[in-house]
Amino acid sequence: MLRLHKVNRTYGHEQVRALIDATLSIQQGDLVTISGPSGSGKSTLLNILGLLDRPDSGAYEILGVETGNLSPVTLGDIRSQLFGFVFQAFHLIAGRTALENVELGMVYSRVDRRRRRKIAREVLDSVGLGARIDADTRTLSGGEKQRVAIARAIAGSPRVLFCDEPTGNLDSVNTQRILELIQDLHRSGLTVIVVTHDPDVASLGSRILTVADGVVTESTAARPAHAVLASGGQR
Amino acid sequence: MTAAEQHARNILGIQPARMQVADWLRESAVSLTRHPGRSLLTTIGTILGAAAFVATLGIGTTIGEQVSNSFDVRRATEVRVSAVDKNDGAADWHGQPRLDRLRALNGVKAAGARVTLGERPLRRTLSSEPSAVQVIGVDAGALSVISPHITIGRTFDSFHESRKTPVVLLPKSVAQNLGITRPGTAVFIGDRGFSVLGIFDDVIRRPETLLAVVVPASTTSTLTTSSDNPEFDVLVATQPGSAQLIGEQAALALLPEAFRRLKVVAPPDPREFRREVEGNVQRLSLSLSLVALIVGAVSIANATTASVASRTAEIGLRRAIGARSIHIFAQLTGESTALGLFGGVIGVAVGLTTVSILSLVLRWSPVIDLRVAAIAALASATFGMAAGLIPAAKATRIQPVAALQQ
Repeated sequence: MLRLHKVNRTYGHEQVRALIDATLSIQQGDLVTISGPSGSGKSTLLNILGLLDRPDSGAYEILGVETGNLSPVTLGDIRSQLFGFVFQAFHLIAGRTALENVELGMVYSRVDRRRRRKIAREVLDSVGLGARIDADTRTLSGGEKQRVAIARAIAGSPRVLFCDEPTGNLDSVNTQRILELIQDLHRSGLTVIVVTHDPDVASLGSRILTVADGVVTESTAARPAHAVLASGGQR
Repeated sequence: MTAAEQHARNILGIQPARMQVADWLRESAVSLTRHPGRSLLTTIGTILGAAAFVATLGIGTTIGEQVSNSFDVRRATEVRVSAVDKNDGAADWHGQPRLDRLRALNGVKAAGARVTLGERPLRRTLSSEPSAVQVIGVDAGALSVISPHITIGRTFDSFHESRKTPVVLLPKSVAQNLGITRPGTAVFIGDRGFSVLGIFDDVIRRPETLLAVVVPASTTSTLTTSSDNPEFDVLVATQPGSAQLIGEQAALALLPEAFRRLKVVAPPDPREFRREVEGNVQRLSLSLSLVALIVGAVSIANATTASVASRTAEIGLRRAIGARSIHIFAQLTGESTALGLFGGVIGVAVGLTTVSILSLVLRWSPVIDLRVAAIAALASATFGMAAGLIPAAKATRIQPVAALQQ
């Protein structure tokens, strides 16, 4: 589904090489975790996979389509309609309700308001926030905020869900709930890519990628993804 | 869009992103209503500009109307017709049939002939020392136009006019000089005796009458000799607002066969006068309002710039989830336009209230053109939109990755 071939990305005047000849392939239904120490290049890898950033060289194909020659407008439409994003800092719009934040994920993708509202309610209900749809996101706990962010990411029925340190700002209880939610989404057929520096979270992947000094390597999962999911995330 | 790009879209099954107008309006309005206090502070300049615009134009119009009302009542109801050449042979141009034609014009309240004899000796008895006083002869119509305010006695009428009764009306100052305090007293103009019919202290029109003695026009023939050259004119009182029209028609009514031989003096159009007053006030107010609106626009531009800086992450998120540059640009200019409109509407309300309160205190009738209110609100919105253009253009350059790392 997603294929990188010899992708490089360099930043700044000092030419820091964040990604070196990254080559990998992600299939439909994979639960891929990308781990590595801080500054290793794992977020750069996620940004390029999510079309939030462009490589300096190399090829990136989505469903066989090379993205290097696509315009920013088309890349934006791909992000909007094929991808969903969850960030460590949640990035919810303060002062708006949970429902409005989830709706925002569909504002730019041709979904009329009535349908948007219906979908947003259903999705919030599915992440366990059915009773808090009208709450101002400033009043929500960290775990609730991240669930709203996940609801926003999946409301548009994406093919791939990108999660950048989704549990980085959460306590252990909420971390567990968010991971269970991500596993549920994966079990429903969604391709999920999770960036994390937490080895425990990384071990949940059906495929585990490690990034160190810009070099991506893949290690074999301790258990196959379907087995992990079948056990409800208990390894 | 290139064919290759369209082919890629077909394979991936994606449609062009689209933001509905209703969503754009809603997104623009939400940022305004979520922080009403901040919005109010941001738009103070615009509020002041719109309020100044509406208030000063409203006050200018109200004053203009007030001036014009006073003008109508006091002066703008008077027309005077005289011969271009005093020695013109058409001596009958102010005869009764011609005056009747003039009186028949729509808008004429009263009209009549006046003859000014010039100064004549006036004295209480034939043996007393005379003093020179202007003598005016008027018919009943002209007397009605002048409308002297009688304090003692009464005025004369068509009976005295038709009988050539030697009666006279004295202004208060002349009566005091002669020591006359009651009607029926005899006075002498030249060597002709007249009975004082009344004493007046004021007139509605022709203030020169306050320095003259007034006799029936028919009696003036007894006071003139062949060498005298009395001056004739016709006085007309009109309904308010009709003076200019009557001024155009009077000469034709009196002397249709040679109307150019008559000279008509009508007061200036009060509407012109009002427009002049309003114009002066409006030029001043427009300048002040423009300055205030520019200050307001700068304020909104600052607020929008600050808003873009503080909302970098939000803008990055919107770009990440599919917003195009045009969507970001439209939203931010929509927000600044909404701010301008918000300030404009509040400013209009403040301006209208100011005009109403001022008029209430001064007992004037407030005159407010609602188009001015609409223009103020629209101008404020336009200034708001203009103020948002540069910050919005800058916001479109925000890249999602950089924004989301904040």
